[in-house]
Amino acid sequence: MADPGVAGMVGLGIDLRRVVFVPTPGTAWPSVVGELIDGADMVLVRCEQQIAHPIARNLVAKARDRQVTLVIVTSTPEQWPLPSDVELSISGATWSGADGGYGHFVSRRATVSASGRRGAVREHVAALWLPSSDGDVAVATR
Amino acid sequence: MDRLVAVGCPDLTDEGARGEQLRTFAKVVEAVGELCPWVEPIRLGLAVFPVRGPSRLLGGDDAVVSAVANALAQVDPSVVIEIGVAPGLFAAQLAARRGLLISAEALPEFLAPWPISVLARPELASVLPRLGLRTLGQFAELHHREVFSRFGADAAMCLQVAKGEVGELSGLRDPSIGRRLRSLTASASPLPSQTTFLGGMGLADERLAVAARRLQAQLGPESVMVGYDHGGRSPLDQASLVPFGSRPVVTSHEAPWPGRLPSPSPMTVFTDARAAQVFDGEGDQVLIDDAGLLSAEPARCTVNGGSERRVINWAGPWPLLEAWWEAPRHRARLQLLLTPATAILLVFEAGSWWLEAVYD
Repeated sequence: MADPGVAGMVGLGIDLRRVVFVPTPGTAWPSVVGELIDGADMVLVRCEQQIAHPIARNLVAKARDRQVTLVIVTSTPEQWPLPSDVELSISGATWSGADGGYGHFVSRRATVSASGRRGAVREHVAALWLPSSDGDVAVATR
Repeated sequence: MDRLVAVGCPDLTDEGARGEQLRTFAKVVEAVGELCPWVEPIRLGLAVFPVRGPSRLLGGDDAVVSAVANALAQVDPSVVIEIGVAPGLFAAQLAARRGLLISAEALPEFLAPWPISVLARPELASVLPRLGLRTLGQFAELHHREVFSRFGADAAMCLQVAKGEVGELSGLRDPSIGRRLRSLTASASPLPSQTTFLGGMGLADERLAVAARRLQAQLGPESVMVGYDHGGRSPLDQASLVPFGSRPVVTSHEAPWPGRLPSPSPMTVFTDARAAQVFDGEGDQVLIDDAGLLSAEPARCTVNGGSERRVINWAGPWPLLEAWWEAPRHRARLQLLLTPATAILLVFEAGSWWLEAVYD
């Protein structure tokens, strides 16, 4: 069992007063996501398993209707059965800052690729700091 | 469901004509707060804190209970104090009445003999006994769907509480308790301004609050959580999730915590115990000695019985020098970079390593 790292979110500048978490929605999760789409401007769903096509379609339709951003986090792309407007994937992430007992994890460099449909058909690949040593997200230039 | 230590003061459930009971209760909360910084006043005469951290440090729930009892005996020996431990707020307050320590496995058995009236639902307390259901155990044998369709969502929530599936029941918490206690100390130590979730922040927040309450009505108060940043030492202590609506959300980094882990904090923090082992290049266990030094350079690591992985780099250890409970403790944290690429945070305590968090 794991909790979202709330302290880490504060570090990224997320205002905890504007976020609610439903860590264990159980089998009722599609209706939970539906309720959250009614209430929030952005809903982030972490998939633990394959999502059935009709459920995905309903959620997307509802999110589009309410003009809510729906972010689906999966461990493999196949878990979400529908094409997305934008697909982001992360690879080759590594932390720097730890050095034989000295220092501490400071920044993480990762390769992020973005593809999708409509205006995002062309795939973009970029090396990003997630986070940078300043705690921000930044393009890695070196 | 976190196991909670409940500290009850049965004589301090009213404010008192001149607020004297409230002041005594504030002293109790303060004294418990010196033992455990995350003590949470629930209502007049009841405060709780999670037992897990103190129990690991002190070597058991018994030790935590006696530490609290000793501390409170020094505050005011005339105050009646009841202490109990159980999973979830509802069971913890009942355990305090009996002075019992209840494990997660023993929870349904502990709840079963209590009368329906402990749910504080007058309608259920009058209807259920007429159906022959006098105890929580008898009530718990009903099916969720039946109770929901016949008595409604609130009764269905009571059923989950009676079954021991859910630890919170609406009505247990007095939303004004924080403000009332603060009013006593406001002149002495001004607290940072606290904004509640709604806090007059506009329509968007209100819309989310409505959705959150609807989910809580369906799934129980613990289903919807908000982040609460205490500013403590470890990722687990620094911030936690509390039920939506249970307390104001504070984001204050004013408390200077020595030994606090350097930023950035990990994004996944484990709530269950995951054992880890660290080995040096010779295959010997790496330990941390009393001086807070590693016995050897870490070379390999296993987590939760998984396969052995190579350590690419590491930082720390950071010893935690805490005077909590005045018991001598040697705890330290270590950041490890493993291959395939994973960054983890381990904690070393009493000769063993535990996985605390992942930087993902």
